[in-house]
Amino acid sequence: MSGLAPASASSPPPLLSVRNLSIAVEGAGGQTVVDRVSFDLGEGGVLGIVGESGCGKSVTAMSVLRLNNPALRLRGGEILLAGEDLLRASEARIRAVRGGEVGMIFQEPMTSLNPVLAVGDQIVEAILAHRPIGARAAREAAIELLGLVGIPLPARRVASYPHQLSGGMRQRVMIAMALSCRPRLLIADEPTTALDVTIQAQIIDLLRRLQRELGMAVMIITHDLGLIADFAADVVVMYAGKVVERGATRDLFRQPLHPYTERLLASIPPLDRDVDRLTTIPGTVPSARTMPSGCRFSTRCPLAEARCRETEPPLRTMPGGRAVACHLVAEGRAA
Amino acid sequence: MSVPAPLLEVHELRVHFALRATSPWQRSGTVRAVDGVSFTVAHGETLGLVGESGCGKTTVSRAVMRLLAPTAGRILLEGEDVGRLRGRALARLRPRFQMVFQDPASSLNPRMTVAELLAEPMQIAGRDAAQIAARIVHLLRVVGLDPEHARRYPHEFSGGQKQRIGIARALALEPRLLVCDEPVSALDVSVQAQIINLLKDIQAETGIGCLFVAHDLRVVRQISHRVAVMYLGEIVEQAPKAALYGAPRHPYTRALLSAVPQTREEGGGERILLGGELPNPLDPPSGCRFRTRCPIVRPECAANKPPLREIAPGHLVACHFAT
Repeated sequence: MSGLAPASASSPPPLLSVRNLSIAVEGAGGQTVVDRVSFDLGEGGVLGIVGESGCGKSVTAMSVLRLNNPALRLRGGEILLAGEDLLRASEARIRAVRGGEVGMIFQEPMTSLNPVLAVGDQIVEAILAHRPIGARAAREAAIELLGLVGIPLPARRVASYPHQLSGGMRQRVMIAMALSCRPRLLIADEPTTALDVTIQAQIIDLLRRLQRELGMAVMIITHDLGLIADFAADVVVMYAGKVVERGATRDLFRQPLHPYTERLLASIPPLDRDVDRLTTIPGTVPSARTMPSGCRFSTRCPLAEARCRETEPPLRTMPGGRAVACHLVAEGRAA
Repeated sequence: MSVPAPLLEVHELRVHFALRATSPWQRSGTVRAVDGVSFTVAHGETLGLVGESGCGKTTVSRAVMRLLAPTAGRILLEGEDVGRLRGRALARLRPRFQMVFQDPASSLNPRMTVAELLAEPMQIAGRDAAQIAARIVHLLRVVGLDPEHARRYPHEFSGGQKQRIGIARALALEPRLLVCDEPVSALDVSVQAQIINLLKDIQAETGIGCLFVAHDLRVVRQISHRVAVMYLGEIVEQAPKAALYGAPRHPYTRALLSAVPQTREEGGGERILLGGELPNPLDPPSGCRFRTRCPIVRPECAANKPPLREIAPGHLVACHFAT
């Protein structure tokens, strides 16, 4: 368990602690895309960040390695990796962290790999950038990594170019590269969205095995609630740039408290039974122009009252460690 | 029991693509993208066509729409062979079968207003202006949009609303068959549910038949009456949805269903992890095409191709060992 509640003074700091992260589009009056987002991820834990498009989950993930579009500006907050604030670290330091202590894999491996370099050379490049070893040792390490991620005949595949590999194999190469420096944290941004379901199952199986064997923490960003339920011990649910609920995945799926989480879970088409009508969330996510001043979900919430449209509910931690941002839940009147 | 003629009957459809090598290192050959596929869709029925990328499901939908010409086989729409018709004869039938595309953003002309987008098919079909204006208002209501929206352009709408416009356009000529190719895969889950409900409502009201092509097994279960599973250009299993999801018989269908990530309340059975990947379609395996990844493969699978046989009423399976 990674523990989502902010660490107390006595316990060691979590591996990753995101505190009050706020990011907005550049310029006066620029839309706030991430608004005071906070969560912790402990050493060796698996945390999922889930939400629909535009909720700010990818921007949050990219912020850890400062990979966001330059038009997005930090408005406040900290991202602490073992106590060190990455948002204020030097350019040289953040380069060492990228691919060093923190590895990252992306949705579309084809666009993340260099098409004119053999995959082995790309892994070697990553190793040499971080580890003080020679070229031959790096090549051997690359072959070992390709074997570790389940690529058959790694000694031959090391010379393959990305276009010669399938989508699933390319994602394995990306994982091998991300693991090349034994990161303490792997960030996986929609790692299986571009893959077929049987290949997705293979990749998730691989990530789970690596996470356990290497004791590495994983932060997975996805829109797929099933994937979260399957893989992540803890979950953060985001809506329109804010954390609306977070907690242990098992409890949160069994009993969602925020009206958004509840409706989102209910709108997954069931696989094991037929329903006459699927539960929907009416309307669409508000845009910058139509963002309500109170609770951001109030325009679509079936339980919303006048107060919800006026004052923003704070994220409140409940007994048992669950945190929810809803006036009605706080008073025990919803879910 | 008399069997009424089906709305759509696809018989032994084959779509092959010739690949010519453009360099000495490339292979030339024939990709049998669809290789002997047969199914029917009844009036008021939805047939779900599922499979992973490269299985040929989209090629089937494009052949049915006559967006590409079949290599062999028949495609009968209410008895008329659309696979063989061309030119005017085909154009005459077009109003009867229409398509909803995956990405509404790229399938709607950004320089046309919603009214123009909806009017276009009706103008081509020669409807008069008054009729068209009334029908636009009606169509927008049917898909849950405000008639006021008719003057707006596609970029002013969200993804879900754009797909509603795409559906309205497909319905403009009152087709009997709607071919939907991944119509909700670009949408968020809460919006996806809205579109699925909408398609079911439209079917209940109009009795339209639907060929629904998708990779998402959850979505397909909720919208279809019957489901066909494709693998490497062939149908490996076809059944009423309760049977297909409740008691799948083909090892590929079983693996596919078990690979869907389960929420906790669904619990889920044993995960069957398939090894390997889709074989090269230029060089498909002999015998059963699934044998290279099949967990229950036996020597005879390489020698003999399993026929698609009926093991229960309406339940067809192409596996030597399915019972």
